[in-house]
Amino acid sequence: MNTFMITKLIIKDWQLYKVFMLGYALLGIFSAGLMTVPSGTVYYLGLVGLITVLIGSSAHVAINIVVTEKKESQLSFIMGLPITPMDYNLSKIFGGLGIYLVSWGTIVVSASLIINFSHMPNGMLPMLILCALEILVATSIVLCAGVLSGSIPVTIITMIILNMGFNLFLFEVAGIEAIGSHIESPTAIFNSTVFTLIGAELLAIAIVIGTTIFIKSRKACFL
Amino acid sequence: MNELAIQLENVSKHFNYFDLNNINLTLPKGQIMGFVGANGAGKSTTIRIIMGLMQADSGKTTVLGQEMPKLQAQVKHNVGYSSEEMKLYGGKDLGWHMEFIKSIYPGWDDNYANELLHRFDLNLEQKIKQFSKGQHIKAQLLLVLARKPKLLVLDEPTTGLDPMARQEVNNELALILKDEERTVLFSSHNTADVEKISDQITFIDRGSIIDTNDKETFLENWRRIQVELPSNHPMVLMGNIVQIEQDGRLASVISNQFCPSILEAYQQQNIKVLAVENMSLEEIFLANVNHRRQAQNIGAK
Repeated sequence: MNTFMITKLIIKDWQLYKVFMLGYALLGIFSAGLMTVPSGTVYYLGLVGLITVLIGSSAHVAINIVVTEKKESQLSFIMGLPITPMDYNLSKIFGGLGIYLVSWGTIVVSASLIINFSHMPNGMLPMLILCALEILVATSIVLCAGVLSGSIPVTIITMIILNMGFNLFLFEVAGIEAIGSHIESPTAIFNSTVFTLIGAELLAIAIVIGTTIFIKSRKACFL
Repeated sequence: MNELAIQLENVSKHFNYFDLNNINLTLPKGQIMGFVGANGAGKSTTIRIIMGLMQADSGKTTVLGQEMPKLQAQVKHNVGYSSEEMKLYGGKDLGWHMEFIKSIYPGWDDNYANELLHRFDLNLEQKIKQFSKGQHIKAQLLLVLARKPKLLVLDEPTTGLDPMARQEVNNELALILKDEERTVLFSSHNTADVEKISDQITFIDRGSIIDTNDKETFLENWRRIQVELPSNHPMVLMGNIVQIEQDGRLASVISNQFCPSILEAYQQQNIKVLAVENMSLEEIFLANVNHRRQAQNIGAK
């Protein structure tokens, strides 16, 4: 593993996409801010905006960093550099996730602070973190689908399926007594159920990345 | 010490509709090799295997003494690769690309980069997406040349360029010739470019190397002989004659191993030799390909 070159490739991608990620972060913060407005309509507008920005930036990262680079033949430029296919794939997986985490992290931290310091019930915090982590899991899957397939249609279909899964996740988690019953409470309740789900989500990310790296490690060449 | 920059031994690669067959290719250090073939002949596939980008099904590939694709990362430190299909990042300017490459290759030469920038008439601050095709290729070459690689591998570097841009690129490649340590492999279907700057020439057709030699030998060995026959009877292929085009008593004969004994043999058969003409590399390539294809077709029948 060539950490020097992996770092160079990640920095290169960051330079290419940082403006977009910072833009998404600002949009996310704005959407979270809308949720504090004492109006049901504006609250839902903010909530939908928050989720849309998190999912939209995830799609942007997965499609542009991984698939478009291949489609637009910039991969040919990168292939000529002193790297192995594994170095390239690691830069795409960890770099893509890292770059996404900049907007994801900014949005999640900002939304948490806004919930904490506004009139909104702090009981929403565990739900916010679980949902944001679910989107992070989905981003990892989409990113890895892009790395494995190198295909825009496959990446987009994966994304659509996972977005549908997000709605299901939302309803299922809200329906869990140990979580759903505390959403309106004034204090955030981080019980064992919440921690188990957080652990499961982090484990899912690790499994998806580990499996992708394993599959890709068997390929000696780019093409 | 291995004095070969590139060595391919019995390299084969199978695709659904194309096969690269048993490629044997050697390029000594300090030489410029033109790799000539029609579109789809197997030039790019061979170059991808040389660069370690594609795994051959069988055979052995060695570049700068290192096995490929196993040691591709180490090898590519000393190899500059550019291909026609290659694209830079449209949203960034040339300066950004130069900084990126400079940060990777310690051998990057700022003075040479600036010299090329001036010679190619490129603008550092212009975004790549605003570049013409010629400017884009010249920018790629700048990024490859300024890192001072020991081996340059250029896949169709002049394809799609206007005559002016092509001349500039060819002139730059010719200048590289002065550096005797530098080895260049460049593919092209433009034989005029190859003829201008190559020391060695290799022809590839339908996935097989059909001929390889130094340029002078090619130009010395191949001749077109214009003859007048004693009758209208069709001429028969013999010895080193690879092609005959006959129109009545006049015929044009191509030899791939020309020697005066051919002319003597004709005189003995009452065949009048009207002229012996040198051939351009394009004519040699076409005659070579046609000869091999005819031989293949006869073999297939």
